[in-house]
Amino acid sequence: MRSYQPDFYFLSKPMEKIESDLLQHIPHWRKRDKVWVAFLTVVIFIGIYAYYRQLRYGLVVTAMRDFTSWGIYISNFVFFVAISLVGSLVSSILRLSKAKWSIILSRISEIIALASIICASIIIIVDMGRPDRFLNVFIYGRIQSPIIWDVIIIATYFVISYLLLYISLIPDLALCRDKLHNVPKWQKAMYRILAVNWKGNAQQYKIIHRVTAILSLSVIPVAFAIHTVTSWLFSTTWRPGWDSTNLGPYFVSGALMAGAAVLIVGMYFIRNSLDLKEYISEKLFDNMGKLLVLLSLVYLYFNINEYLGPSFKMVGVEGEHITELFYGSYAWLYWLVQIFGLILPIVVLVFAKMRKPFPLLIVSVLVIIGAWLKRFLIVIPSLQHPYLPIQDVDDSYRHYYPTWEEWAITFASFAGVLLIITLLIRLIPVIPIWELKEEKEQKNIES
Amino acid sequence: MIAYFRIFTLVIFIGMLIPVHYNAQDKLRPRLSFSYLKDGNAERYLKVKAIARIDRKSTPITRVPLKFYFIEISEENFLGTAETDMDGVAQLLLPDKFYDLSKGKTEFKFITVLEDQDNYRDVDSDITVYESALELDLTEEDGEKIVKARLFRIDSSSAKTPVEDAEVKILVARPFGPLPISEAGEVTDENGALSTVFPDDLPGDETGKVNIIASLEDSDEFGSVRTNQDIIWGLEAEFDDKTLKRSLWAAGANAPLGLLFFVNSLIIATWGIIFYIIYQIFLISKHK
Repeated sequence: MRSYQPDFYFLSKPMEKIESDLLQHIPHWRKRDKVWVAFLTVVIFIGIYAYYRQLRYGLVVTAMRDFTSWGIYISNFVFFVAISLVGSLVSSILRLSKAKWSIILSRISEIIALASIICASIIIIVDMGRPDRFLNVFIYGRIQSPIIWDVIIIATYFVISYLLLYISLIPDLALCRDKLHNVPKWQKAMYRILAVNWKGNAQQYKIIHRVTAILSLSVIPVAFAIHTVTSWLFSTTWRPGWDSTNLGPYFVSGALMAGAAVLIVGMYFIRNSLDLKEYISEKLFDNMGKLLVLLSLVYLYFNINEYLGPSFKMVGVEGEHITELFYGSYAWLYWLVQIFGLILPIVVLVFAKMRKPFPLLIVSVLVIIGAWLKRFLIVIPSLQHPYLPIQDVDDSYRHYYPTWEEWAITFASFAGVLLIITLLIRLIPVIPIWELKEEKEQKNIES
Repeated sequence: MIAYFRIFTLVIFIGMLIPVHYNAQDKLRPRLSFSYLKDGNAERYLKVKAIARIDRKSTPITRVPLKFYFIEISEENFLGTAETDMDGVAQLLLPDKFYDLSKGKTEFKFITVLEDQDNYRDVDSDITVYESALELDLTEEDGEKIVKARLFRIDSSSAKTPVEDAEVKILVARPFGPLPISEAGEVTDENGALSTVFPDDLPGDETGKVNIIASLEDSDEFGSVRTNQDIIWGLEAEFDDKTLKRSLWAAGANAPLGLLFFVNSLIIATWGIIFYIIYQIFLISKHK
């Protein structure tokens, strides 16, 4: 009797059974799937209508004015970029550190990463007053501008995220092509084309392994760069709260934490809706819970670094900004984020019982809400404390309450991410079957 | 008595139930400030600022169309429509039709109409101005640069009559707004003229060119009239060529070489890997 790690108990099953378990959801669209997709589509259409109004009447339909020129679009953009780092966390960092259990989660994380980076790219265009001039960014862009660095790195990370998902998917697409007969013709054609003539021979496997290794290595600097460059959009702008050398690692550590929380939520719902309890085991949740504690501790460390210095000195506008966060009108939001989105997960997840799927889901949802609100707190209060005071302005300039158009577009972007994830998990196996097969063969040889 | 009291109460109660409509009374009555602008001898504009008292504050009326007419409100005399902007200002460049209609005339009456809107009552305003000519004369006398502005009223035979006591200003165009060089409150003499000495220390462009402006603002008789002329009277400006050198704050074409090398190396290396991987995908499809 071979002994499998708790994460891989299911490998004791015959490979045919594993394949059938992991492919069974693809041909069958249940009613609730259709209702869910219809709901997301409606939310997206409401967002499209709001965007039509923004194009028709201009950015004046938003609450963005001279002070707060970056609103929830930008905080949402930073949030999505942060979430997209989950792909590199699991498929690269965990893989390279030989955490074999990450194989099971790699595809889910890659799907989340791709969906997030697609919507981050869209939301940044939504933020533009004249999106018809978008191409001018490439034609007339200055290489000295961090905005151009961000455009370059987002485009690069988008392609790498796609390749990371696609390369490891090729053998499984071939499996879908060969095993799934009761799917529509277009779906079969899609599997045939995307499987690029995969036969599963030794040379093809050799290429896949080589390419996966190269991608796993190269995605790390690109992933760190994407969120570091995003942080530079802020730190190279002279505003209170942004004028910090700590901002790069602060953003990256926060992104990895938020990404891990999104992955846990994804695991929970995929596990239940696709009936994969044996595959996405409680042990995996336990592992992810521990990882979330570690990432939260790192983020806590950078949080302390970020706020201690300015709050000790309380100099000028920087002091006003800190006062606003600690005791002012944003204090309730700030402490809510710090306590429920950062401290609580660290304290609670130390206990093994809280790393069970459902409690971990609740904690992860808190982390995600905290992560989104944290981006709001990074963007908005800083903009309301400019170094150069703008005098005799309309009172609306001094506050920022997003309009319904901004909320509708923001919710539509969330619906967009969820729709992409939903469609992908309905079309492809969510666990890399060929890697499980290799793992099983490896165990057979060892035994 | 009790019956009267009951009827009275019933009437009051029914009265409270009837929705009260103040269609006309609810609407605001906007105020229109109408002005006429003549820029040089080329273009003329009509400008209207529409405001209303809302919550005891003067508030601009935005996004409402205003119609403009010459002499009287009629289809033949219709000049055009302009919509108020976020500041409540609507501006109409007088079309060719105005010049056809005003041939032989030197007294111009303009009418603007804000037609009945959901929130505003219909209202109109008019302005009457006379044809004028504001001329600039730039001469050098005894080493001094003299700017002379002259204002004339034009009559129907195109004869010029000097306008006395008009508050004409002489200014020089600068990047953030014109700089006055004549005395504040100075008025034209019996020849319709006003003159001032151009200062010696005023910089122009790299050739020393400056733009001198004569301006009559918001006159009851002529509206706002302005004319300008270029002349090489200024000091030759020496441009700071910092922005032309390679630096972080220069134009894109003058990016620092180190930065260009660093960023492009990263792009080439990363995209090199991406294209290599795409090539490998192609190789997968070639293996049978």
